[in-house]
Amino acid sequence: MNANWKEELRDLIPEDIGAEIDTFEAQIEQKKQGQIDDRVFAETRLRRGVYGQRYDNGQRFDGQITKALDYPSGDLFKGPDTVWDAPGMQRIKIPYGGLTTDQMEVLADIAEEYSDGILHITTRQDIQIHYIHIEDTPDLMRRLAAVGITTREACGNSIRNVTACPLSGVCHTETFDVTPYSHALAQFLLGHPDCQDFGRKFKIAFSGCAQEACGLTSMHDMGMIARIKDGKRGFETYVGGGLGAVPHQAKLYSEFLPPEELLPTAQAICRVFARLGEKTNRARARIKFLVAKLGIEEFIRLVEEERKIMPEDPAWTAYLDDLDNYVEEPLKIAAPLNGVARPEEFDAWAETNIYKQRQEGYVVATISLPLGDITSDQMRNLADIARKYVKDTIRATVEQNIILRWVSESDVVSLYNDLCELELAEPGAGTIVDVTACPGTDTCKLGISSSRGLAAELRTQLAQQNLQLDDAIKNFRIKISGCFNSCGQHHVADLGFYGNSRKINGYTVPHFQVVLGGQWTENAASYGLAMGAIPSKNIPAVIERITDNYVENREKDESFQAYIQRIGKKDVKELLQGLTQVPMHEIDPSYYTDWGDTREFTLGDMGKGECAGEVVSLVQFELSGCETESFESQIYLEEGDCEAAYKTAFSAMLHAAKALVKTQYLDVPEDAGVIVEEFRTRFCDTELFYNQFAGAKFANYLFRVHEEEVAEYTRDIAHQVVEEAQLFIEEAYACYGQMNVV
Amino acid sequence: MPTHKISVKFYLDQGHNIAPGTWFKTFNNWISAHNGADVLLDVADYSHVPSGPVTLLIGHEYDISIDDTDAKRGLLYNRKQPNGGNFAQQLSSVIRAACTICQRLETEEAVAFRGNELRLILNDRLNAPNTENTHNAIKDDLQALLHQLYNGSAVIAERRKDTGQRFTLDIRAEGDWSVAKLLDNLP
Ligand code: HEM
Ligand code: SF4
Repeated sequence: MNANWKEELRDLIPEDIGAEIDTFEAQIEQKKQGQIDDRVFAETRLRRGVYGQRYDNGQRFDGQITKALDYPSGDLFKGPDTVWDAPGMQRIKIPYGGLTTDQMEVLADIAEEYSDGILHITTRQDIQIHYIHIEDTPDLMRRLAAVGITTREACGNSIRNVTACPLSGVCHTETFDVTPYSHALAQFLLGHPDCQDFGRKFKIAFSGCAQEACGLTSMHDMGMIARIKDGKRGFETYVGGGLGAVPHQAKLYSEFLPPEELLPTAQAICRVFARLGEKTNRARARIKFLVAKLGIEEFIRLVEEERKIMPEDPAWTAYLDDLDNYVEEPLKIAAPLNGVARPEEFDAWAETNIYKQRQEGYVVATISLPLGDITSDQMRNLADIARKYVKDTIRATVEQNIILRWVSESDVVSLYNDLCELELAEPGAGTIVDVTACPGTDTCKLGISSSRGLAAELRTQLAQQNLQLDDAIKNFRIKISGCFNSCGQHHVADLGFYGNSRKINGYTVPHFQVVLGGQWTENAASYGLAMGAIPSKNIPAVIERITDNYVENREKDESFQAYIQRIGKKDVKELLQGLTQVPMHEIDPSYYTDWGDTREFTLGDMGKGECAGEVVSLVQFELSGCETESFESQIYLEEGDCEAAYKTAFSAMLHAAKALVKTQYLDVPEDAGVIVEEFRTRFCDTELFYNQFAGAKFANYLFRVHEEEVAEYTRDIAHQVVEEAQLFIEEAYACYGQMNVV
Repeated sequence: MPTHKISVKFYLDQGHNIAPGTWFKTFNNWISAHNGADVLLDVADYSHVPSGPVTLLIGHEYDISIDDTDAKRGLLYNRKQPNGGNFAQQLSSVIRAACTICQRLETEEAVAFRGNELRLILNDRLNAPNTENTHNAIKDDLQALLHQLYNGSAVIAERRKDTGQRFTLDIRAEGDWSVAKLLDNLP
């Protein structure tokens, strides 16, 4: 028999995480057997980072017609609109972008074995791989878990990756290093019971200072900026920011939140969001809408009230004792770069890709990745290079690059030479050529125009002109999204674009809306202005006209933001005149095809997005989990492990009871005695959990097993409990239905 | 059987300068013209990453790419789903599939492949780690197949030794071999 990763990695994966992945694997099996509802399964996999991808509705436009993709699994679905065999995207959470060399190697391996050998760094410091088959995901997760990476809550209506400035700890302008705080908050909220009932996703970011861009706190659901008050550390805290179709600047929640209040406040905010956030209208379900609806004062009042009634949790402050244990160290001693011969292109690279750390003698080196992509081989070799120069001080950035921190200055040329070998020494990090783009039409179902195609084109064109570009525009940021959802963060770019389309001459023509003058600095403090839609093929010309005009006409030291404000929409429109025109198809068909594609443009490939997840209530979710446990107990029984069968079946019943109790008593602890008693008084004595024909019969199953002392786990005893668990869960569903809250 | 996840790469002899856009178009045309039982899904352009897959045709059962990973351009066929039979049969069917694709490209584009050199990768670190044991486990099947493929000519197979890599053999046969000839020789 062939080996399996579960056994192979057993000792390396923490037990609870291993068990979660086993459960997910069991749910995949259950789904194949038709035992889980499509919607519940969709949200289940999304919360494991297993996302749909373009064409997963089982069809694709080939340039002439839309053809069905005849997958072997036929009409088995993994979500309401998502075909089972269709390849999907796996999002991998990298809290604050922090990577170790071992993790880089495993990432390289899984991209090779399950994906296409390409790792993609996202605009929120995550890593994505594409074209994954769902049945490979449990092993993929195990291999990641063995090196301390989870994909849990990477998508779905949950707490997404917690981001932080990639320079934290080494930056000149920071107040203090936010890394250990972001780590603590991410750990605390991961899988937290109070974060399982959101109507939408929730994104958190940390920033070390207010003035730089790195943290982008203003565009997050919750953002923290490091502050010192009376010699004590804390956070200026914001809530309710966000991009998307309706961007919002975050509102000030507190000028100074002390570290011991960070975790409980975040928890209280999550509880208020879970309770009061919109659940039906997906377009208004982010917390930004709740904050806008209530007003920030009322929102703060509610959170403070919630904070008071929450049961005390030692985890709130336990992390404070560990803060001092977080130290980053260099591998090499600090030494200047003395007299080493510099290769010809070294200086140009160093100018843009080297940042001198606050710590004398050390630098941060940026590896610019085109479109955020890196091959498995490069990633593996980069891990080797990293080992040579630094400890595990590596981070992914929101600009879709990778940085090595704590490089001794004396090593910079040698590092550069090594990077050249890997073809990873492209200059221009953080400049106009370092274009950011969302996945767009390449892999996203919602993509309208090709953000990556345009980004690749601009990158090539601008890199060729780079030496001639005026200094005033060299550090511009270009950010592109394939549609208004703004995953490419176009609102906070100098030159932002998002995909749309126009019907012209009987054809649908790919366009981009031009968004100018967004602010990247000061944590994304202001958003750009939309200037009108331009055909995709004319976007390079738009950039040329606007940047030329700015260089020629700006007033002394006038920023691009100020210049756009000054000249206003009307002048910009005039400047872009002529570029909105689309020639007839017979004259120039190229306008009717998008960048990076050869097919005639279509909207026919768009699908229903999974970004909003499925609204599945907490109880439905938990009951579905109980069904999985019950399913697992049946398997144990089949395998002859009667004790495990008995215990798992009991646990399934207990959790079903707990799910019901939680509708009235959110903080019921994970204690069998308490759950059973709460269930007895709240559901049994009140006859809420009461079968029309069988009375309290099903409830008694739970009570009996809870009290039972088993001397020997025989097959008969185990079998009985396995059967009872199934009935109990069915009754729990019925009870929940009658409570009228489905 | 070690694994069904077998990849085979043949190298270009002519046609190195064909622009990625051409491959992109060709693969898209293949999807349009396709009417087999297997599923071809999508084409991805990765020409912006150096030494990686240049242009990738993604399928359900297998992927095909114009591939630069070892700094030598070629055609990589990567089997993802099992194809029935034992290892020897699957290996043979992967080589046949790769040759068939090379031949098709030779008729459609100005390219030629060298048949005398190929890279074999077992894309499965669990069941086929990059060890001598794996090599021993497949040796007999491989030798028999190569004997047939190259009609008894001398063949050297060299294993890449770096442990981080997948099990990879670089195989070279004496003489001049076109992919068409290889196809004739396959069982
Ligand atoms: C209606 C659906 C969607 C909405 C409203 C949406 C919205 C957003 C927004 C506003 C951001 C970026 C800003 C931020 O950091 O907060 C983002 C990030 C991102 N989105 Fe989406 N998105 C949607 C669907 C998708 C889909 C289908 C994909 C691709 C399969 C995708 C890929 C990304 C990526 C790669 C990021 C970077 C974030 C990360 O790593 O967490 N999005 N999304
Ligand atoms: S911006 Fe639109 S096209 Fe781009 S990833 Fe987000 S949803 Fe997809």
